Amino acid sequence: MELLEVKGLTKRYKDFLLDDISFSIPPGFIMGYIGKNGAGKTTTLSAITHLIKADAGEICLEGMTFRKDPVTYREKIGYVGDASYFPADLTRNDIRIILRNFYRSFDEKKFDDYMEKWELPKNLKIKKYSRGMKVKLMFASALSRDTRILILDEATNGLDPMVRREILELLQEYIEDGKRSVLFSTHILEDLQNIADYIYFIDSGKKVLFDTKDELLETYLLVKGGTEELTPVIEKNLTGIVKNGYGFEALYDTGKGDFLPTGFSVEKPTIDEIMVHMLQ
Amino acid sequence: MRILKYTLIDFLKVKKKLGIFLLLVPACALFMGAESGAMNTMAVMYCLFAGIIIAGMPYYYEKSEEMGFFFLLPGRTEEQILGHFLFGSLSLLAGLGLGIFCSCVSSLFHTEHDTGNTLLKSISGNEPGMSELILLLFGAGLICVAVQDFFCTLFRFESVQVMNIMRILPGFIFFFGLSMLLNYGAKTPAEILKFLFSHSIEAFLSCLAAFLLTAFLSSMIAKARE
Repeated sequence: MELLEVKGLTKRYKDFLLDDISFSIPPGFIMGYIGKNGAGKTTTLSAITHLIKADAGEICLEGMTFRKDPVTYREKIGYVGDASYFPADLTRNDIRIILRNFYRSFDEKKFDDYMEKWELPKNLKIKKYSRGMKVKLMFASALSRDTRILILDEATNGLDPMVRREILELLQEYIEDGKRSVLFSTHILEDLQNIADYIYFIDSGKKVLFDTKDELLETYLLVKGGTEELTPVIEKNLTGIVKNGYGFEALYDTGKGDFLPTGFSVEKPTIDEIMVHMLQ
Repeated sequence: MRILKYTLIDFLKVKKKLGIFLLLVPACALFMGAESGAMNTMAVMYCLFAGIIIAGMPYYYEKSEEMGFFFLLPGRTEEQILGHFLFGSLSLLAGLGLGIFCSCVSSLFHTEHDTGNTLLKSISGNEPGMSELILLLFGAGLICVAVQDFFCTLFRFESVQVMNIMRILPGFIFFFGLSMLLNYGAKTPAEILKFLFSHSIEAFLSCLAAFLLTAFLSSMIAKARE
């Protein structure tokens, strides 16, 4: 059974439509959810966490829907956003009390250990925390309890490189038991390059591609050459051609067959490069 | 049980402000009571007024961008709303307790004072006891909190202006409306007051039933919107 199944997720806003998004994540894997600003990433993640109500579609977490059992559904999710969702006037102690009261699996010692490690002040109101401190508090509150899925919405933005690396290590530890998964939306695609198993690429509310990271990196090649060498036939077989003063750069889909012309520089692309060229 | 936990959250939101209330409210209650000459009644009224204001304070802290944490908690939205109502009723009870305490303190220092009862007697022809007054005032307070919480439930995240008005208006109507009744009561139909004083228990139970019904209705509306 898949850990998370999203089927036909649709949400309408005045100027935006999240249209029929479907994907699934098996237990024990990390999925990167990528797209440019305004693509629909936060809308998708908010619908999964039920922070907003979808207009259509079904979301199942370990076979359970929110409507069936909202309490257990929410217990299984750990969510970290790019903006703090804590009330500004509360302190970390207040958060601790609330977490202890509401979550059966909340581990106070673990929470305190994170607080000590990340040196978060005890009696300071959250509104006085820096952005990095707020993100760390969100991570601590999510990692201090037994969840089934961690949903991260650009959560590592604004963290210093050392803490980011630490978080990525924590994510890999999190899925180690093979029972839990991570859904990770980020603009720092280098992070996904290192840890993601699946990549879902969304643009303007619609799916662009969904595949394993390895398959994706095997499927596409980054082709570079001089613009004078670009013929219409060659152009037709390339995706996302970017021309500049030095030449051109484009993606080649190896699934199209053996067409790749000789004489060009060919290399494996990064996820970043795939995304940029797909959006061209 | 989760309703109690949501009530605790409301308390955590406002606890830092409560210290000021615990200092200022009794002082103001005693002062205003002494000034009006209706010591006991005014003390209870003023403290209940403070209770109504405190009941609305958690809504002040509900900015939509800060509510994510509460919406992610494993609980139902209707439980959250009922937690607000429970917090409101507990605030009123606390206000009532403080008001009775202030009344007792004031009676130690004023041997001759108008409790307000004799004033009400002149209006209605009936002299209500303190217990009847407390029941009626507490009942009125429950209605104010119910109206306040109902509108705050309807308009939270949709209209900050309406929320701000509804957080304050019921309390002010409660306090200043009743104050005007005491001061200008001769114009108030005496029969209504007479009826209320002689049926204070029924009136209180009606207010309590209305409060519970409003709480239930608000929770159902919030659940339907979820």
